[in-house]
Amino acid sequence: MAKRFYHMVLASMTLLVGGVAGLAAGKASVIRHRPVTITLGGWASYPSNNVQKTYAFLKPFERQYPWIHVKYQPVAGNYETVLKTEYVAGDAADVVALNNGGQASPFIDAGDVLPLNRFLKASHQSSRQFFPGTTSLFTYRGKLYAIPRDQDVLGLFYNKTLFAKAGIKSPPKNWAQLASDAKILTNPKAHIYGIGIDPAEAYWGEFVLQAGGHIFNAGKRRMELNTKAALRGFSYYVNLYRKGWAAVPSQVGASWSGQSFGIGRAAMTIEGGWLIGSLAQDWPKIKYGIAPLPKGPVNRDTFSYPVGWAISKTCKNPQAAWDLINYMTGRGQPAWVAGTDALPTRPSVTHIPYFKDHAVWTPLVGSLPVAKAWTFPNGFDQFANTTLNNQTLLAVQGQESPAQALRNLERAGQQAFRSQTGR
Amino acid sequence: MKLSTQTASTRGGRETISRPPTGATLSGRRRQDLIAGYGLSLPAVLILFVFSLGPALAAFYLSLFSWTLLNHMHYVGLSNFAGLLHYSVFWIAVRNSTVFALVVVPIQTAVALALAVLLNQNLPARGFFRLAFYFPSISSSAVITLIFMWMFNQLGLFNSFLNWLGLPGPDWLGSPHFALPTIMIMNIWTTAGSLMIIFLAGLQGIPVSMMEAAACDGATGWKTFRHVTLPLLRTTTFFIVVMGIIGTLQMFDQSFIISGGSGGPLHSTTTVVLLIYNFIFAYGNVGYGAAATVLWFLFILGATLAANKWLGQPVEY
Repeated sequence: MAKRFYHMVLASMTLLVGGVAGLAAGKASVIRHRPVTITLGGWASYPSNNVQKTYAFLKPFERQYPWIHVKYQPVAGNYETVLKTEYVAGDAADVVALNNGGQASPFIDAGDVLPLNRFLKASHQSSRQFFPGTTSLFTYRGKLYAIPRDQDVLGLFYNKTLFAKAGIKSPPKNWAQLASDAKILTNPKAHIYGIGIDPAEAYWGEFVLQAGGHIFNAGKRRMELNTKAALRGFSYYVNLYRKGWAAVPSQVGASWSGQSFGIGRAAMTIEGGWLIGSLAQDWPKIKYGIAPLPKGPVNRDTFSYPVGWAISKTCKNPQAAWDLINYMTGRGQPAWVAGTDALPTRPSVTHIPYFKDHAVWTPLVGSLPVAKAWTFPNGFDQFANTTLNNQTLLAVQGQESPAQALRNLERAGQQAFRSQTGR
Repeated sequence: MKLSTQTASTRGGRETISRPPTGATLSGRRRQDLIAGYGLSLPAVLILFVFSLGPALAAFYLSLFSWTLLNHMHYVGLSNFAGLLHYSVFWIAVRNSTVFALVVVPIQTAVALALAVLLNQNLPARGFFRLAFYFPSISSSAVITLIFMWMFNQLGLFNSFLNWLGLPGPDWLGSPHFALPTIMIMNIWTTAGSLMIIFLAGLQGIPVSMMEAAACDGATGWKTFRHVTLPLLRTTTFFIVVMGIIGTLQMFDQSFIISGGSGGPLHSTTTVVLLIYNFIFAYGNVGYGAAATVLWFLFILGATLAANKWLGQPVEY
């Protein structure tokens, strides 16, 4: 009991020192609150498979809000699949993570998570404090359904050893240099290719953006692949393979392009910041650098992959869940991104000492203002998993022209939009 | 083992002596047996109903509804079936699963039989070989798939071997022509061992007198096998073929792991069960998945009945 009282005093002092609230208000709220438990979801492999680390990260929060006990309830395996079954069964965590790539919209659309504008306003915050590319992903009919917790962004990883051997001094800065460097670095006899990229839209969409095109229109109600700009971007990507300078992972015995790069079979790759951790863990000997994506003919856009925290509609204490989210995406964000090898969603957090000490991240941090979230409208899982992959592969293998592939994608995508409205 | 059978028989003997077999006590004992029998099998029956038959019946029910897992389901009649039959990928999946079964079942049965006959002889180190051939069956199929992905990748062990022979190695997992055959090879290698054990048991169940009689009539190796061993193994073969058909038509895990769940490249590893999984859990289209489940149930039932007609007759000595 005495210990509990001590905690309360400590908590109210923390509130005062932190300047979050006045002493009187802090004390009052501490006394009024009944103890509650908030379950915190998300996938098990992140952050870094390490439950202990998450608990350590949450300690300051529990000191500040001693009446809120956070229980970590991660999902192992196929995250969205399990989360769907948890919502069907009614035992999803109070706070869940929503992913990019069209994985957030089914849950938002079905009303499984609460709109957060009210909470955001009550804690004197605004969605404008986040990178617009991250909040747009979780905004639906004008309401914000998740607060972006972190993100990753595509950059150009290059193998310094192979670059030195080929006499290339600096990483390519534009499309022309990327192609010419890839050509020089390619050595088919040694099974080494200039660039290793996955044959997937998550890796070619940014070429379309950089050529001034879009995958969907702004409201995500229509396909926009049947444009000159989209064709220009996609053709550039396809030609890297057709000329033999780019390799799909299976060509070099890898299962993803990060692995192609890690085993030294691809001199360059376009991957997200997640590759930094993989390289350190699985291929620590490789000497590499990261550069912003080479600039396209129109802009230097890149894809970002934000993740957000949302509150389940089944949550019994939404206010406590909000306090947790607000901490994790606010005051706790510097510790979160430093601990999980991810990038911040608030421009203000890009200046933290962690990124000064870990200069490898600098080019990626610098790309955040031009990053657009990778996503699909609701009901596009099947399209993304089948048609999009197939048409990409057919074009990359030369069985279809880029123009033909884009026409097929445009048609199948429009079909998906029609069945979406019919649903 | 010997001790326990002895005790059981003594106890049984004592009971028959101490209780005269009158009608009343017999029916009492019979009732007790009934209660014990049903009581003991109740947990298994319950589990079967709750986790096996229940979900199977639910599939029939769900096939008539439109449901994304997250929204409210509504009744749509048979339109899921109509939509499914017009969906080209469903037919690709049917073809993949059928081809997979047609190739894998005969080969794995033949290989298992050959191994069983071989290891039924008095060979040196017979135990070691039995163990070695059976070993793949007790390993997790996920682990075996990962090892095969490593062996069969473009620059992997198997292609290095082919290159050493002077043959060009294909991109086994990345090419739509080779991805399914790779899974076939893996599946045959994995299951042949466990089927071998069943064949071995069948072979050892053939009375030695039959073989001696055949030898007296002047039958030699191949003739004995063809006209004595093989017909007498028919019940075993029936079991293995039916289990093989059901198992191969339901192949899911290897495709899932090799393609990362997508059934690619270009749908070449999309099996019906993988498609069902994707419909329900990835595409949010539970009705289509359930409809495919119902259709595939009927298909497997038909295939099993056909096998029964062909191999299921009793053995005539």
